[in-house]
Amino acid sequence: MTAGSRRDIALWTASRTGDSAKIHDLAPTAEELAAKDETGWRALDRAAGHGDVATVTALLEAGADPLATGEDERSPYGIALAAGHRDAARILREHAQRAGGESRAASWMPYCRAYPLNALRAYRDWPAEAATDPDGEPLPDSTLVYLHHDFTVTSAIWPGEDVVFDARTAEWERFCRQELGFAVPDDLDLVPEATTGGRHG
Amino acid sequence: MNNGRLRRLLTGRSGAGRGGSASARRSIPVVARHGPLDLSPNQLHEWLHDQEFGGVPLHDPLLLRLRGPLRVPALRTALHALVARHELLRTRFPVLDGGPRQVIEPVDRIRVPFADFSALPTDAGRRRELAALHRAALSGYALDRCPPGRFALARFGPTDHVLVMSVPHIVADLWSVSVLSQDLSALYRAAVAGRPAEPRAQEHDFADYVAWQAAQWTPETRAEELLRWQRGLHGITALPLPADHPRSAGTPARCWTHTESLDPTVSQRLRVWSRSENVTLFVTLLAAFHCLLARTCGVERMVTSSSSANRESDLTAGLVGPVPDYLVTDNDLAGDPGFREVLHRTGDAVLGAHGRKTLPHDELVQGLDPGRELRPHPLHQIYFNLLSTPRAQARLSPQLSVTVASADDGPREPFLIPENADLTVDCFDYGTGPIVFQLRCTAELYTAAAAPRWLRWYRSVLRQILEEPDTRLSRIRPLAAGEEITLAPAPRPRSRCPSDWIEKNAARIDGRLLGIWAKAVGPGHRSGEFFQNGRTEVDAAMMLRRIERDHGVRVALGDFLRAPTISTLLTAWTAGTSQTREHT
Repeated sequence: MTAGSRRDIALWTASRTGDSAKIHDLAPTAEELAAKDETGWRALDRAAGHGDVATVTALLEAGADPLATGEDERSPYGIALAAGHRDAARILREHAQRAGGESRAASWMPYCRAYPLNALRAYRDWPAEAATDPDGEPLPDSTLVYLHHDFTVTSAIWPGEDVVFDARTAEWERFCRQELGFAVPDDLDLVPEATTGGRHG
Repeated sequence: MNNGRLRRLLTGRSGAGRGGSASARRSIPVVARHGPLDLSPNQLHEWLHDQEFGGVPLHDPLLLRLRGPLRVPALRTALHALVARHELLRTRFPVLDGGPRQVIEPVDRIRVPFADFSALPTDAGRRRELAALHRAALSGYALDRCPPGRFALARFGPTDHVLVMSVPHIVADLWSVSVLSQDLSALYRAAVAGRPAEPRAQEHDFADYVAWQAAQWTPETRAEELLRWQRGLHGITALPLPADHPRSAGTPARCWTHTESLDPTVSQRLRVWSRSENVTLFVTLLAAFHCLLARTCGVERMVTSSSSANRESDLTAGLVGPVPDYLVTDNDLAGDPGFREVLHRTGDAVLGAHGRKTLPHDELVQGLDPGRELRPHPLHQIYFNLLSTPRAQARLSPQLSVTVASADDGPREPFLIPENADLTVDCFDYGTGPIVFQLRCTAELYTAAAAPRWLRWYRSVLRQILEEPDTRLSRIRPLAAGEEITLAPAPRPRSRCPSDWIEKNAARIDGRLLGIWAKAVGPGHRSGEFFQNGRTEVDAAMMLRRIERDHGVRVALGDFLRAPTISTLLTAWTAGTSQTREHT
C-alpha cells in the first residue's frame, strides 16, 4: 500500500469513476498499475468495482494484472461479479484465463443439488444397499440426498461427509447430466439480469 | 468496577453499550499463532459438555430466509471474508499434548457450500427443505476433526434463499451471532457496492483475549479469590426443590424444556415498574424468582447463578467467542419482607455479585467442593438469566426481506435436552413486546408437565407483585388453590471409596486399569477418589478417553462425575472387557 503519487491518485480516481479517457491519457506504467491505494486495492480492482467496461478494458490493455489479488484475497473478476457487473466480469475472466489463471471463481464450489432419492434410484447401477437407515432398511423414496459437483452423493449438504454413493463412472456422469439435468451453474448466471453492465456499483 | 458504574448498570442507566466507554478502551497483546492455543474457561466448559454428552451438537442452527434479489456472488464474498475475519469460525478443538486445544485452520481450508433446492417441486412453506437444512446444519459435528462453526447458502429459487449459520456455543455466544450478522451485512453491502470492506474494529481476536484474561491471574490471586468465595458462600446448600419424584441415581442428565411468552401488557408493566423502582428488569425478574423459590422450597437463603454478556468493554464488544461471565447471587429473604424489600435486597445482592472478581465458574465450583461431595452443587443447581442481547439482524439490502426460518419439524414442547442443572430460567427481553421465558428442569426430578407448571407458578408471582408490590413474601401464592407439592428428599450421599479401598480390592483390579488410575491421579496417590490432589474434570475426561482409546471400554463422563471413584471405573471395566472377550 502506498500513500500515492499525484499520478497514482489520478489513476485510482479515474478507475473509481469509470473515466476511461483519463486512463488513456495517463498511459500508466506497470508500477503505477500495481500500486495500491489506502485500502489495498489497485486501479483494476477499483475499475472492476465500478463496472465500466471501457475503463476495465483500458487498464487491461495498459498491462494491469487480471490475476492480482489484494490483501482481502479478492480478484478483479470476483469484485466485478459480486458487484453485479456481468459484462466487466466476463472480460476480466477471459483475461484471467488467458493469463493462465485458475478459474477459481467461475462457479461457487462446493456445489450440490438436492434430489429425492427415487430420482437417483432410477440409475441402472444404483446399489440397493445405498441410502439405508441405521437398521439397514432402505430410506423412503422421498428422502432428500445431495448430488455434488464431483458426482458423489451424500445425505447432507457437506461434501465428503455422510457419503451415500461415490462410484463415479462415465455412465453415472452421463445419467446425472442428461437424466437429472445436473450442472454446476456458472457464476455469471447467478448475477441477476437487472444488474448487468451497471455503471453505478 | 466502581460502585457508581455498578449502580448505573443495575439501574439500567449504563452508557456501556456496544462501543464501550473510553476508560475501558485498552489494547491487548496479540499472541503468536504458531501452534495450538489454550481454550478459555468457557470453551473448556463447553468442551467438557461435549465430552459428557457424547459429541452431540447442543446448539440450534440459525436459518435465515432471504427473499428478494440476492446477489449470490456478493454473499459468497461476504461469507469468505467473515470466516477470514473471525478465527473461531475456522477453529477446531482436538486433544493435543494431553488436553483440548484450539487449532486455527487457514482460510482456504474452509468451504461454504452452495446447496441448490430449486429443482424440487415447491410446497407452500418449503418445510421439507428447511427441515433437511436444519438436520444438515448439525450433521458431521465433531469438535476435534473440523471447525464446528459452519455456513452454507441454499437456493430455493432466484429470489428465495436460505443462509445457514451453525455456530455452537464453544465458538460463539448470542452476542457473537449478532456481531456476525452485522459484519456479514456490512461485508455484503461493500461487495455489492464494488468497494473494499471496512477493516474490522478490533485488532485482537478471541485467542488474544483468552491469553490476556489468563494473564490477569497468578496462583496467589487465584487462591486469595477462592478463599473470599469460600468465606462468602460458607454453609450454602442445594435447595430442596419441589419435585415429581426422588432424584434417581445414575440417570443421564437431561432437562425438560418449555418456552412461553408473557403477555405483552404484563411485560411492559414490569419494565415500567422496574424503572419506577430504579432497578433493572433483571433485578425485578430475579427477585420474583427468588420469591417463588422461597415459597416453594421453604427456605430463606438462596443462591442462584446467572450469566452476564460481559460486553461492556471495548476488549469484548466486537469479539466473536464465548465471552459471557457469571454472577452468583446470594440472597437472604429472612423476616417475611414485602416484595419491595425483596427487590432492594436482591438489588444489593446483585450489586455484591457484580463487585466480586470472577474466577472461572468451573474452577470456583471445584474450589468450593474439591472432593465433589455436593450433589447437586449449589452453584450448578439453579440458573436465572436475562438475555437482552441485540437481536441478530442481517440487513443485507433494503430490497431483501430477511426472516428467521423455522424448520418446524422439531419435537413438540416440552422435550428433553442434555443439561446438568436442576432448574434454569432464560428470560429474553428486547425492550418491547412480550418477555419470553424458556424454562428447563431436570428429568432426574421432574416429569414433562413440570416445565410448564414452573412457568405458571412464576407468572402467578409476577402478577401478584405487580398488583400488590408491598405484599409480604408469606402472602405470595404461586400455587393454584388445592395444588400440592412435595419437596425432593435430600439426595443420598454419593458412594465413596475409603482410603484403603484399592488395597483391599487389589486382587480384583486389572493391573492395566490400576496403571491408568495411578497415572491420572498422580504418583504415590493411593486413594480411590479421583478428585484429589487438584485433579480436574478435564483430567477425568482425558483419563476416560485414554481408557476408551487403548482398551475399548467406554465410561460416560457424566456417570463418572456422579461417582468419581475407581470403583465406578472397575464396574465399567469389568463389563467392558468381558464384552470384548465375548466378541473375540
